[in-house]
Amino acid sequence: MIRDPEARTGAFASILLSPITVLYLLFLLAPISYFLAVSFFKYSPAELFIPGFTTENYSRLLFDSYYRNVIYSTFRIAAVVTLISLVFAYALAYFLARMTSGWRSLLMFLIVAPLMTGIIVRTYGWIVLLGSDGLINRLMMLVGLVDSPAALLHREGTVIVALVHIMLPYMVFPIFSSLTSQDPHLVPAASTLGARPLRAFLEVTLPLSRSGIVMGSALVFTLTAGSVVTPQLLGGRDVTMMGQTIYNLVLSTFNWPLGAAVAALLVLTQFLVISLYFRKTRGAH
Amino acid sequence: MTDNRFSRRSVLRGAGAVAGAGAIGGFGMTSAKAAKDLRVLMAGGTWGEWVNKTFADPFAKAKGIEFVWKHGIGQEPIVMAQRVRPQWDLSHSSQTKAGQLVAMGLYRPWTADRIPNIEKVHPSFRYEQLVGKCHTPYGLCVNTKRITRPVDSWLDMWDPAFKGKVAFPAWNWQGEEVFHAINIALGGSVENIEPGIAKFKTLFKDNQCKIINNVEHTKQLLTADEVWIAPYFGARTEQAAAAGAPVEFVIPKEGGLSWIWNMALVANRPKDSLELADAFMNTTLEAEAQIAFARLTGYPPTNMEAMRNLPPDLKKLELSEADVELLGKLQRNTDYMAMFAFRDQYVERWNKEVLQAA
Repeated sequence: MIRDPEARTGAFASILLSPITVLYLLFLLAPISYFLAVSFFKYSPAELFIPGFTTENYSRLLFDSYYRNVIYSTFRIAAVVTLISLVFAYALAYFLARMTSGWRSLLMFLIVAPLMTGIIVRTYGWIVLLGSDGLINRLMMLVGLVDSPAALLHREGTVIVALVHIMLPYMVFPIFSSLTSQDPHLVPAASTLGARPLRAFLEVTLPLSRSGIVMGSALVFTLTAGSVVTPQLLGGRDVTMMGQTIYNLVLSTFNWPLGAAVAALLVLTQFLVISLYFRKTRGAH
Repeated sequence: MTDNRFSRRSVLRGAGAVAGAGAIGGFGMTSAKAAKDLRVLMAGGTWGEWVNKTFADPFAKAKGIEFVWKHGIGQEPIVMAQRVRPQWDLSHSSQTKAGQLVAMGLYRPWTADRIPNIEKVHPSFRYEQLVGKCHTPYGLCVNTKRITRPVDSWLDMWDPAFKGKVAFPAWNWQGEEVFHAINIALGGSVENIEPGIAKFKTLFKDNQCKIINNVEHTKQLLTADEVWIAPYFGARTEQAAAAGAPVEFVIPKEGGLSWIWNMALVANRPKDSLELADAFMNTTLEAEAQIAFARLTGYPPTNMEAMRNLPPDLKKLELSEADVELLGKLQRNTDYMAMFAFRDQYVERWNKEVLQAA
């Protein structure tokens, strides 16, 4: 019989946490461990892989210019999308947090609404919009900006724009949450102490919304780095990201060891980003 | 880097060993009970509905069994993951992937003693690893509004007049097969892809070729006027034309292609399940069923008896012996078993020497 209340709470917490722990062990840690192991196996076309130990797959990733480029462009695109999303999302979240009218709910619904449509449909929407015969090209030709349709598709920039559009809600909500949880008297207090609005924002509001910024950035960075559909359909031959490479290696070429090595590198980076989040927000919590 | 020293023979030798191991693993699965269901992995959507209506429902009724479906694309990894205890009887695959899985001992070859209707399919479209239930003629889709000169060759994609308006399927979609077909037309072989690599370098670099990733993506790019000429399916081109798009389908003079659409036979299942799967696949090659399927899909049958006896409303689908010969010309010379043996090396050469260099 446990008499100590703290110990009893601990035991109760363990019981409550056990289903999710089992779930994580079975469906997250076990598959990750499996593909980590496979990433050190040797590839064989007729057997998928030969168990053993080789660092060949990682050497290929790190020293082969093709795969190095894929890794570099993945993290570069993820960083750019994160940065752009942060700027737009912060402004939007700030505006929403300060709103008091009933329009706020409607606006928040409009931010969430795109998430209710499949990513493939949204990506095809961009093709319709940016194609040679698309709305943007027609408008540009109408106002005399260009004589013939501009090539707007199959560029890294197009992929970035589409990804920002897809990722924006994931950045807006954590920031919105951190802004609305701030004490509303802090900024007026700073003003009474002589701080101008910009200074009050930079020294009070912004630092206190750090947890939302870091959380949103971690989410957007990791989700972007793992993108498959958007770069595949909008990037054409010019953009290849790690998600696409994993998809192709595992489902098409059937080179599971190399696919597992790319996946391991991606997951490792995502873990690092998440750890960074916990480290950076420890104080904020 | 991939080990370049293996040969096709060594791959197949290794595969034999795996097949043996798989067979041992499968012993425990053999059951004395009659199979009560057929478990099938295949893409769903309209194809799933059509297959169900034409082949599966009548078969289930006749045999008193049920079908268990798992819908989705790219399901071969499931068969691979279950290599010791396979849980599915049939898996919808392409001929290249089926080749690899036959070599791994995970799919069974098709033989006439088990599936007699194979004999009725044109030799160009029956392979050891897969036999198609319908033809899916594949050639060039041409925008006739933009391209006014006659197009009759794969090499027309290299015309500088179409710079930036030409597209080629992604390697993991149909690119691999189309590349090999054109490589063969250029004098190469599955074991020698130098002519193809050299030629495609210029298509991507000089003619600014785009990548198309699937049927819908191609349709979108054709409609958006982003692409004027691209390898594509005949029936899809016809659908686009019927919807008002200024496109026409051309079977190139070097030879077109026809995808082998059917289910591969998963190995190492209980004996009764194997027999049931063979019997079901045999019905997909029957003339009457294929005519019904052609009516739903708009794709011609592979059974030549069905082709000769198409009813008047389906006559437009008829392919003459000469058409079938033309579709099979390049395909007959494609060694799908060799293709998979070198796939890892070839995709890397494609990525680096063709796409990255462009």
